[in-house]
Amino acid sequence: MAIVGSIAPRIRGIVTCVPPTIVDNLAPDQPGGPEANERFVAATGIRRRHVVAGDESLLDLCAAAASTLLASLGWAPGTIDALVLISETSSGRMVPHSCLLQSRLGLPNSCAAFDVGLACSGYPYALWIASSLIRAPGIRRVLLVHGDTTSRLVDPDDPSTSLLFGDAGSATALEWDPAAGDRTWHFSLHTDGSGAPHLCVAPAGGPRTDAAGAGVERLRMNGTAIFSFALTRLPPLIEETLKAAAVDRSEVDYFVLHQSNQLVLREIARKCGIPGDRMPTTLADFGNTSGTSIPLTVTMGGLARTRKRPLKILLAGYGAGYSWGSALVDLEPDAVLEHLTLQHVSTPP
Amino acid sequence: MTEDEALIQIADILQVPPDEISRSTARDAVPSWDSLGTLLLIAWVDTNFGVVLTVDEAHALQTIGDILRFLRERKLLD
Repeated sequence: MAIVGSIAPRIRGIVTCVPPTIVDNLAPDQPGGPEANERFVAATGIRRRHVVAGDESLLDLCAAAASTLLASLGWAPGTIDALVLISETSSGRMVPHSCLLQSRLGLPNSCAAFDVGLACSGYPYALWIASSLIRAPGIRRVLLVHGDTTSRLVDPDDPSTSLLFGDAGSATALEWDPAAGDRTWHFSLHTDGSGAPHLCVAPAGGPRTDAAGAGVERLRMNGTAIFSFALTRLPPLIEETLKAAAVDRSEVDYFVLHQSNQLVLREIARKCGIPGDRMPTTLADFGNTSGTSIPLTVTMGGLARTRKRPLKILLAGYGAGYSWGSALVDLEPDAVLEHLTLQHVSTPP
Repeated sequence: MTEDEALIQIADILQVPPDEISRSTARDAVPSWDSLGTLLLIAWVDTNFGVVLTVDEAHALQTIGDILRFLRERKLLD
C-alpha cells in the first residue's frame, strides 16, 4: 500500500478534447435493441458517446488538447521540461506516443518524455508522477497527457462494452510552485494484478500471455467482477486518503471519480456519504472515457469555482489491473479549464 | 426485511411482476437477469444489507431462491 504526500505543484490548466462523432445509445442501429438499450441508459447514465472515426487518433486528441493548453497559458514549447503520456490504447509499435507528441508539439530535445501504460487509474498516478518529478532540480514544468480511444477495442456486437466506452484526450499543465511551502498533495495508490483477467484486451478465453496467442483481440470485461471490485475498494481508498491528509470530507469541494457508470458512482457516493452535488458526472454526454474521464469531468462536470480560494478535489481512478488510486489536490482559481471538440486533424510526424 | 418483501423488491429490480416469479424461477427464465441485472442485484444487496457480493457469489446465484438463501444464510433477513 502506498499512501504518500508530495509537495504540491500548481495545476496551471487542463484542456480536454473529444472527437466530433457522437453516438446515441438509443439510436436504432445500436446493438442490443431499443428496450434493452433504454434499460442500459437508465442504469449506466450513458446516453451519448464521442468516438473516433476515420483517421482520427489518440495522438490527434492529445495533441489538440496539449497545443490548446500551451497556447492558453502562453507557454512556449521550449519551456516544457517533461512530457508524460498516460494511455491504455497507445499503439506506437515500439515508438512511445510521448515521443511522437514531443515532436508534434515542437517540444525541445531537452524534454524528458515517456509513456505510462495505465488505464482508468492513470490520472491520479500521473499527478503523483508529475509532483514527484517537479521536486527534482531542473524540472519546473510538466505536461501530462492522458487519452484513450477505447471504442476501437470493443466488440461492436457486444452492447455491454460497445455502449459503454467513449474516446477522449486531455492535457494537464503542472508547474513548480515556489509559494507552495509545505503545502502537500496526498496520494493513495494500489495494485492487485490478480484482477487482470476481468478487464483486458484479449482473445476469447483470457489475456494474451505470449506471441502465440490467437484469435481476434477485443476488450473483455467481466462487469460483475469490476463492479464488486469498485464497491469493495473505492470507499476505503477515499477514507484513507482523507485520513492521510487529515482532511474531513466536508472540506472537499468535489469528489471526481473515474466515470465508469452511474451505478458505481451512486453506490460509492452512498457508501461514503458524499452528496450527489459534490460528485459531478459527465457520463450522459461522454460515457466511460477510461482514465481521461477524470480530467474530462473536471472541465465539463460543472464545477462551481470561486476566485477566493482553490477548490479541494479528491480524484479517484480504478480499473484494469486491477489498479486504483486517488489524489487529493488543489485547483487554483486561475487554472485554465477548457474543453474542445477535435476540428482538424494535422498530419502526424 | 422479510423474505416476502425481498422477493417483491427483487421482482422490481428485475422489472417483472411479483406474481410472475417465485423462489424456483431460474436466471435463464428472466431476460432482465442479464449482466446488467446482476449489477443491479449486487447494488440492491449492498444498499439494503451492507454486503458486497463477490464475483463468485454473484455467479452462484442461479435462481431467485438462491438470492433469498444467500440473504437468509447470512442472517440478513428478518
